[in-house]
Amino acid sequence: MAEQYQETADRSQDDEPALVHPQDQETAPGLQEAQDRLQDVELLGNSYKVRQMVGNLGNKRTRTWESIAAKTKNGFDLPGKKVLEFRHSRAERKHDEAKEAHQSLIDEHEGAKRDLMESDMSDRLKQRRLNRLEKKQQKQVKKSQAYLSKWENKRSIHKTRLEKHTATMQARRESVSNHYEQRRAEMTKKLLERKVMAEGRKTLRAQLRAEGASSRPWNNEVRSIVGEIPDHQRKRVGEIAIRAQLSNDASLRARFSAESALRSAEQAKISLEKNMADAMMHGSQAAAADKVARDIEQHALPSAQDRLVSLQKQYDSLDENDPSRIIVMADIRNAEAEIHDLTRKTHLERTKAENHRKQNLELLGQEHGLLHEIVSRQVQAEQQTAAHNQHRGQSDQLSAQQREEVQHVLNSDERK
Amino acid sequence: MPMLTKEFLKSLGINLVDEDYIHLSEHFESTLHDRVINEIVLELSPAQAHELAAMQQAPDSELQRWLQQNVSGLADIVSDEVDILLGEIAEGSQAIGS
Repeated sequence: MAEQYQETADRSQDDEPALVHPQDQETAPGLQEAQDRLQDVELLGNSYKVRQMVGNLGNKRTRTWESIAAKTKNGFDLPGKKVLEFRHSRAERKHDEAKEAHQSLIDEHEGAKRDLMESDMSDRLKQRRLNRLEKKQQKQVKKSQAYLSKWENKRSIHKTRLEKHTATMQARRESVSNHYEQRRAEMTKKLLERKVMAEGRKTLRAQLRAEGASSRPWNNEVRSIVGEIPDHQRKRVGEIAIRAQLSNDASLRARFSAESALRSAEQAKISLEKNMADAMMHGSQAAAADKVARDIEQHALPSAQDRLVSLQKQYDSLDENDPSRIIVMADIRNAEAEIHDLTRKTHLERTKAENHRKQNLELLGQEHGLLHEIVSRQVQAEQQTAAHNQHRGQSDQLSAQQREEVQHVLNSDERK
Repeated sequence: MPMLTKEFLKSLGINLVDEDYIHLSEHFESTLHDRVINEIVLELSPAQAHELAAMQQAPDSELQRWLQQNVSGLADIVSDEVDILLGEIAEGSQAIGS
């Protein structure tokens, strides 16, 4: 299998001139061992974009989940299937028995007729007995036929139900397989599309190079220079190039994440400032409403109440027939209405102040949340940057160790 | 962690025993390294090629910096070679997995 892949890869490599150093074709055992070890370490230690892409696929997990779901549903349907199987089997057995009994009855009738025909009776008597026998047999056959039909129907019904039930369960199992095949086909298609696009870009680069070939007369010279570099060193350059790209991608991702976190923090700051402004506004509006209510309670309301008391006194002091009483009474009603209005207004202002205070408190609560978010976003941004730098540092350190190990083996081989 | 995981191969219908999987994985990475350097070489001038040849003892970080500074379109080269190689695996998945 790996050999088949080797052929595919080698075919594609033939497109470009090979850059194989003659000395490297005969690889020393120590060198090979060191390369193998390095490769194993690389296989276990490196982190690649492709791996991250592959990790996101989760195809198998989905299939496992679908398979479990289908098996669970089929498990619930299994007792029903067993019952239907039992009913169908019973109907089948009964039908077979009825059919056998029916056939036996017909045979028995034929035998009785034959016996009758072979007897020594006169023809007339024979005919008469035969008629009676047939009449009796017809009744028996009709009854037997009805019994057979009954079980035929039952067998047919149970068979249909069982087939439907089994088909449903079967469809569930097939559905899992079909989904898997579909995902596999989609995955293959996606990879092939990406390959075609990548090949297109590669060809374009080659064309651009060819167009500028007159200004790049050195290609053969470059090939010759690089061809002098040992194979393991060239592979190392290829590997480092890949790592450089991946490291660059990781840096970009970390930067984007950090920037995103900082943007969120900035947004939270803006919200916080707006909240603070709103809270201040609600605070001042609550204070203003309280002041209005207080002014009414301390000045306008007592004054109105005093006036009412005074008017009531005046009203009481007037004679019942005095026409001024009507005017005073009207003033009393006005004073009462004014007191009522002032009380209502006080209540209104107090409610207004209470509402502003509630909104103020709510905004203060939100401010707490926003402050928490700002801090956590900033910490997140710092952590992402630090984690990335640490990872990068570790990766470089590990690679350096691996290189030292290989170099050590190479040097020892050269000394030998 | 290998570039090619078993999960990825299974998603393409390629089921391999451990030994075959390790060979394929190693071959994948080795081929990728070769192809990337072959493509990089095409972007170099003789002077740059000499510089590269002289950097065999240089630490990885220095070599990495040099590549990033001297190879135009390094990101595209790596990305395209990865895509092409994965596409080839997808293309040959029937043959590899059988």
